[in-house]
Amino acid sequence: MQNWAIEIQNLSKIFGRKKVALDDIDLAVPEGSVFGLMGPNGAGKSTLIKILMGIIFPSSGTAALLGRDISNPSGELRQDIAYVPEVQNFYPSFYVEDILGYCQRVYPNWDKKRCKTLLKAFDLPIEDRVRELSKGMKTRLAHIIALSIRPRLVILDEPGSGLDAVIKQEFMRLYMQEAASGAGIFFSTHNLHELERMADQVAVIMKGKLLFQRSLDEWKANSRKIQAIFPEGLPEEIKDLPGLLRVETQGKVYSIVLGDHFTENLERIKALKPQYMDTLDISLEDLFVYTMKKEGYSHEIALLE
Amino acid sequence: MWFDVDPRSSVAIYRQLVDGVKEAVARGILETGEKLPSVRELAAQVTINPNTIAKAYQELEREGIIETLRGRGTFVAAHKPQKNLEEKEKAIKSMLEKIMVEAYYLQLDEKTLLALMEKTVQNWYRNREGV
Repeated sequence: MQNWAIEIQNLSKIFGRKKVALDDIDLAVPEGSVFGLMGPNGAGKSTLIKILMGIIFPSSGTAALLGRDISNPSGELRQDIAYVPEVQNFYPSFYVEDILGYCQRVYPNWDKKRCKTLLKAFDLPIEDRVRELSKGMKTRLAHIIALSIRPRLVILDEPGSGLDAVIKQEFMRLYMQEAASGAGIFFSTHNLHELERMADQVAVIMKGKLLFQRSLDEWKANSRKIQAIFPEGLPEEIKDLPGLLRVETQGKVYSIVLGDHFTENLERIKALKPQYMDTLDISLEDLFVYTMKKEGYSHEIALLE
Repeated sequence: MWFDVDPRSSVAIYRQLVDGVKEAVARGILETGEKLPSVRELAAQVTINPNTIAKAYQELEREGIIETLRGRGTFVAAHKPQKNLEEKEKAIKSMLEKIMVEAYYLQLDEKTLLALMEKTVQNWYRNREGV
């Protein structure tokens, strides 16, 4: 039987009377997977993560972390689950050492030695109060705690936000090391280069709905941009290609952007006898943008006056 | 580093790792018996998904490029003459045919293509001697 790090079924969240933040989400994150959650601003990524962490409650549906139902209020539920939110909410008047002391008591697998190494490596002033820390320092503290609890599952909401490039890369390296030791990692991000290196599976959500969940390798292998010249104009058949995201026209050159079924589509396009044809790689960033545009999220504007 | 990954490429990252190691071995940058980093070490070194690295190592092992000795680590394997000449020729021929298809659509003529191949082959052996 497959073990799931995270299993979400028919999850919906409605704020107030009718603001649908999440609409019937089904998602399954295999154990040991590094799972990237993508989606435009306001898609519902943080809402989903907050529900998983028990900060807000779902309107309907269920979810389980490491096989434990999230509706169970017991503290044991999250004792080996690390969470770093986008914005840190430590009590401002607490000293850093007090927070660490508290964590040590709450988390049974707290690794004191590891915590000490991390505090030193990331220059954390433990005698300071939280209110004296910069945003970046607070984020460092949250990551240090996440790594010190020896997590079996790590949930990160925009892990890079507020960190400089050097520190961010160090933490990401450490998370990859955790993943190699078997921890599952679930993170939301807008940084697609980062996602591409780290994730093995991705999901895209938009306006509260899950568009798809798939293996990153498989998605990339099936996506390509094909440039072709059809002197007689674009054949009708192109519009029916499965997985077609977009066709752009520049003079007589058509750029056919495919988000799926690359090999099959290539044969189909060849059969239409283009005068010239070339296949181009497509970056994950472009792939994401084309997918969003196809779903009607474009924000394209003409030149500004 | 004996490889790098290009996230812009549509080649899967595990495939880039496989090709990178194969190229490094073919060029003599990685030598027979040389130890490769563990999955955990490499994941942390290059900030890449450990499952991706494990997948690449599995593929390299399957192809006989590397071997894992239990408890000791992963090493570059000794070259084994696994296939007979006929099979080798067949494998290369089918790869060349794929290049021909690409060349057709790029509208490269026979002479240009042959000259390009000759130059590439010569450069390769020259560089390899230089290592």
